[in-house]
Amino acid sequence: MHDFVIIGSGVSGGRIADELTAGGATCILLEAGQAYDRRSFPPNEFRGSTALFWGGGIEVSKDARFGFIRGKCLGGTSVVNQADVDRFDDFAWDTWRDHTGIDFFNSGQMAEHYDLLDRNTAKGPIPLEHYNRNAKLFVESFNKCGYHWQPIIRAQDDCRHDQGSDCIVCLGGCPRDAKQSTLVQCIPKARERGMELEVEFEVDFVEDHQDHVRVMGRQRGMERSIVARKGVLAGGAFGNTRILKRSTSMAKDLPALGTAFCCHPQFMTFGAYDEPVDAHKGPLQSVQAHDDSLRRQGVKLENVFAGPIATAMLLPGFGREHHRLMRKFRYLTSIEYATMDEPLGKIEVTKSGKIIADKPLSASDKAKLKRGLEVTTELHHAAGAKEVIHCDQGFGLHLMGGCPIGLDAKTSVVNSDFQVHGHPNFFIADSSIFPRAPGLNPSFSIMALSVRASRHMLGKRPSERSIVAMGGAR
Amino acid sequence: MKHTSKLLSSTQIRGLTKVGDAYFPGDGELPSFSRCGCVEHADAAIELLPADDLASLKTLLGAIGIMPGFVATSLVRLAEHGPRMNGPLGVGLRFLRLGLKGVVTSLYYSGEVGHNYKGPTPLEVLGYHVKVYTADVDERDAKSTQGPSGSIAACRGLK
Repeated sequence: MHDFVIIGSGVSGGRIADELTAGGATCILLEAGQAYDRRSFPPNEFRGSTALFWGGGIEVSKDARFGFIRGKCLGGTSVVNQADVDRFDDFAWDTWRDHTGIDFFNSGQMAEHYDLLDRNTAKGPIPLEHYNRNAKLFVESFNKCGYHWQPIIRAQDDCRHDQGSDCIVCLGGCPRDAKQSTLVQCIPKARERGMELEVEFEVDFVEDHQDHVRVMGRQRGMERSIVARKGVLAGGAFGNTRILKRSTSMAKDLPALGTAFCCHPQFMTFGAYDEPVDAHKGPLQSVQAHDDSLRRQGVKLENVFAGPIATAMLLPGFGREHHRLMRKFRYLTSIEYATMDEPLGKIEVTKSGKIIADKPLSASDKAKLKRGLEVTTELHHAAGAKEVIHCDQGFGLHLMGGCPIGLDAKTSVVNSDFQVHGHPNFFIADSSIFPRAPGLNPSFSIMALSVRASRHMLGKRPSERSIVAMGGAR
Repeated sequence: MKHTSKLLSSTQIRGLTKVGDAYFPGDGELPSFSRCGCVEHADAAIELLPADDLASLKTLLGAIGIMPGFVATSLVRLAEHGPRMNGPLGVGLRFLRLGLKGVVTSLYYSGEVGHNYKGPTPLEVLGYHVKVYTADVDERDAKSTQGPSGSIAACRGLK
């Protein structure tokens, strides 16, 4: 019997697999999607959007106002995201601590986990000389309008922008393994330590027996069952909530299951210029807002762009007017604005297993979105855009909540030791435990929480480093 | 047009083409949806949809397939109002828009065209060319006595 069965191979599951196997535990990792590698990633946006994401490309909220994209492949969303690795600031941790009463939610105590990740992750900003024109115009507009910006720190190693690499390709998996996804950084090491791996294994439900756990699912149409001493749910806000809702013997003990769903609702705005911008060339994302005023207003701005399919989906209209806008593709810049939304959403699961994500916007959320639109419009004009194009289609940028962490089993699902309330054999440390939207990119903090949770899983004190990590061999 | 779909009937393909032409009628240089023949790759766009979503899409495309073309265009025009509408009608139109626009947009800007089409693809008209430099990692993998490194190793021996 394995010590742990880990469900999900993304930012949290892959990281935990690395930590647990480094600590001597035997593990089996289950992933619902297929295994790709740098040579076999789908060749373009079209093939990638259908093959690498749940829902055959996109899932939508109950009212279809928001689209959700989440990775479904070995390495999960870490394979298809932008690999931004920001630490949470005091504002985010303090908000969480005030809300949950959990003491370790503070920058000081989380620093050791971030520091450990810093030492073991290739990351850094895009060198200024490699900024594309989209990034340069973003910086110019911020400077003109008096907002503060900063380089985005990305988990990447040797992208070879000097050789003309275009990072937009890597939204469908990085063909040179420069992006430090769990597929590159964690899973190979765990495999070398003997971890078993099963892909195309979709978990239906789990059972908690006193001395072991059982995971039931289907693999390529065949029913499968996996038994282990303990279980780790790392399927994200949607995946974990779905599994627990379908695990009827556990769900009845979890009144808060499916609550606190939030997603950093995001919209894109485009600016059109007379000269080519070629925002799709070179590093896709180099800079972001770092402005205390915007942070306090709950507005998050980033310099980003999208491929032709995504851009065409976002641009309004149809017919010749849509053609007119798309013909400007090489002349467009883009700024995304997202908001630190209130956790009012709910995740439900139908009898057939379909996820229904209800994402209402509060008056405060709407005000933040309005502010985001105002600021991005101001920035586009300041940079000299001849036309500013607003997009109606929203996206949930990061899927969070559903299994919120807290001290009270009536209002939360996971305790401060990352165990499911009343079911200590099951652990969760991914974005599903977020009690509130942080208003910042979550990946690095999910990694940090997963490192901390791994110590609990291994029966160590949170501050106790694994022997392998201390030896510097990782 | 050659019928290549194993998932959609001729009527459903006709419906998909009407929607595609409403969204992408062509502008002289950009070809129309039907002219570029991307609909031949429809299965690749929909084969991984959840079963109930695929069933709904097929029903919708079948209905559009027997409508006059101007009705399909009116439907698309209506759907484009969805994002700005409240209430149940807005919800329905947004689902309609995401479903229809999602499929035809993916196909039109896929870079894939019909077997008889000889002109530039919509991506080529836009000037969209992207690459990632891999010569050094390809060479490293080729020289390695241990075989491919990194993520490739993780996938070896999968059950």
